[in-house]
Amino acid sequence: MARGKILVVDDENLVRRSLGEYFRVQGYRVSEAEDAAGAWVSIQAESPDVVLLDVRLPDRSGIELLEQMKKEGANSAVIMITVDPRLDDIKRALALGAHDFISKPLDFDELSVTVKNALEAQRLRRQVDSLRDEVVKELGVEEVVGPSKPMRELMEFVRKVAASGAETILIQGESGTGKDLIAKVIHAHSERSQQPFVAINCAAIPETLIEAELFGHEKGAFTDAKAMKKGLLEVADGGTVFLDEIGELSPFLQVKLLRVLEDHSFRRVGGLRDLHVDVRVIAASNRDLERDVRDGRFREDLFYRLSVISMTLPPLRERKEDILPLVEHFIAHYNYKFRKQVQGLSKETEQVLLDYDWPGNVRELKNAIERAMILEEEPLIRPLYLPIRVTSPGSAPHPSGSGRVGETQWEELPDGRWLPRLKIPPSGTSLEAVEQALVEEALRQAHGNQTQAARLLNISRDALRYKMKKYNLGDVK
Amino acid sequence: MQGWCANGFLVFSVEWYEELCEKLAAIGQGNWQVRVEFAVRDDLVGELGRTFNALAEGLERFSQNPAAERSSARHALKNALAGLAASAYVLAERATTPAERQGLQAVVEEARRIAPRLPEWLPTEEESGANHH
Repeated sequence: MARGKILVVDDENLVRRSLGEYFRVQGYRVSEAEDAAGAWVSIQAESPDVVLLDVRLPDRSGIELLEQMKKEGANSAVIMITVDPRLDDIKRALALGAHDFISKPLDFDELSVTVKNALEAQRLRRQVDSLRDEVVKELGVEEVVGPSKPMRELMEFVRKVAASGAETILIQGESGTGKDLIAKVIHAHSERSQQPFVAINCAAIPETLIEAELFGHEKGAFTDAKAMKKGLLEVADGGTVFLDEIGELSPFLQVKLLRVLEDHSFRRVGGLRDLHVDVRVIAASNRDLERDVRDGRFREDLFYRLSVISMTLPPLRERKEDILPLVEHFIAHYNYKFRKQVQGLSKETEQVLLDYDWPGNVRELKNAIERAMILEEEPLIRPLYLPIRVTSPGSAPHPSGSGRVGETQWEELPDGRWLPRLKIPPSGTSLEAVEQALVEEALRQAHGNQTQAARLLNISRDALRYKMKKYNLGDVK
Repeated sequence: MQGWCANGFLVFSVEWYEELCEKLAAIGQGNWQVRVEFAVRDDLVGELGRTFNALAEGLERFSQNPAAERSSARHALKNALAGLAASAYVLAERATTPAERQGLQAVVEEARRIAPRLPEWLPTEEESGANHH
């Protein structure tokens, strides 16, 4: 793996060639340009980590090029070099974000340290950006908890895979089994751990946007492309890209991705030049990709390329001995997050959790514990605060798999509750009538217990009473 | 480099880096008529030689020119000197003998000694005026 990409821009042939050779020998990927025009082409095509930029170039000044880089969003670290250090130039370059200013004749030891520092600053900037994205998305960073045999075997395999040079890894498993967490663990235990980890959910972004998001775009590639933008593959250069729900990728993007996997090259949207990246691709899917291949929905060549190393995460119902350790872990997590002091589960709750099948896997368990911890005021969590589908599995159908049970389709809300998917008939309906029906149903399920009915609807008891009065529902049981 | 001439006499000649170091030192002493022989080589060393000769020629020529024309010439010569130093440094890193490494390191040091003297040798109009005052 190259230590970083450096672009040397100097019209003095000996300086340029010497710098090129010096950094190549040190393991960097180096390209050279003798003027600002050539440098700009390289910056766009290769997105170097560091640019060594002479102040005086034949076609225009290096400072003007630096200004253009800043304007167009190129985020290489720039080290200015000059034979005539002038205070005005230094001030202007630093104001434009130059990393440092070095004078000629060059002191190579000093320059080497400056380049290393610039790369480190660049790496930290990129890492902060990707961590910031992670925080924004509130992705979990828990250690994988699972003392069961299937999980212990899986984690042993994960550690081996992480340390290997495998460039593609496929993670399969039901929704909620923690495929994203395993991808992060692989990255964290790999040689690439100091480089960015970039995740994208292929199902969450419209097809029209996902190409630009993954591969980037050139300025003017489409109406809103006001400036060149790097794609996630470029951002992750040297690190790991996690493509969740890969089965949702369109056939066109499957071809483009296959090319990245085969020869590490691609073009930005609207671009004419091939760009090269060094990334490990971890793909994940909760679909049966082999069946998708048979049905012609997923490219066979891409599937085989991705599945050189593949693993399947076991569903929680097949490793029930992991449930209580996971609960313990979540309680500790939410005690810290919510500043609570819940000590554990009541015996009854333990049994309820062990009896339930957890079709939504670890994610469903985590949401159930989060909900209970918000509501519970006793030291031990009681079944009362668990979702009704967990305590009475037959009463509230779970939207596992296709999300379809009987005639009702359900959708999970962020707080772990479930929303029935409703259809409005062409003749229309009444919002008040729907609300009344829901209040009636809640009271029926709670056998008239207003506190429990209010909880089912996630409203206060006073609000429920107000609605009961409004709809004249005095005695529903 | 040493070898036997056709007439049987053992002839001693200096290595190219020794010649370069020696002639850079001459430049430092104000002798701008010096040129190096190895500029005819068709490799990086040859390019180094041509750069040296251009530097010496430039100093010789531009020191005669009016001060107003010296500013850009001085920039070019400083750049050429920086190129010489950079190449010598990189070649020293991959030198195959201690003598070659030491010779090239001496070239780097000599070039660094000369660089600050260029303004003194090629003063701009402004600097000339300041000196007169």
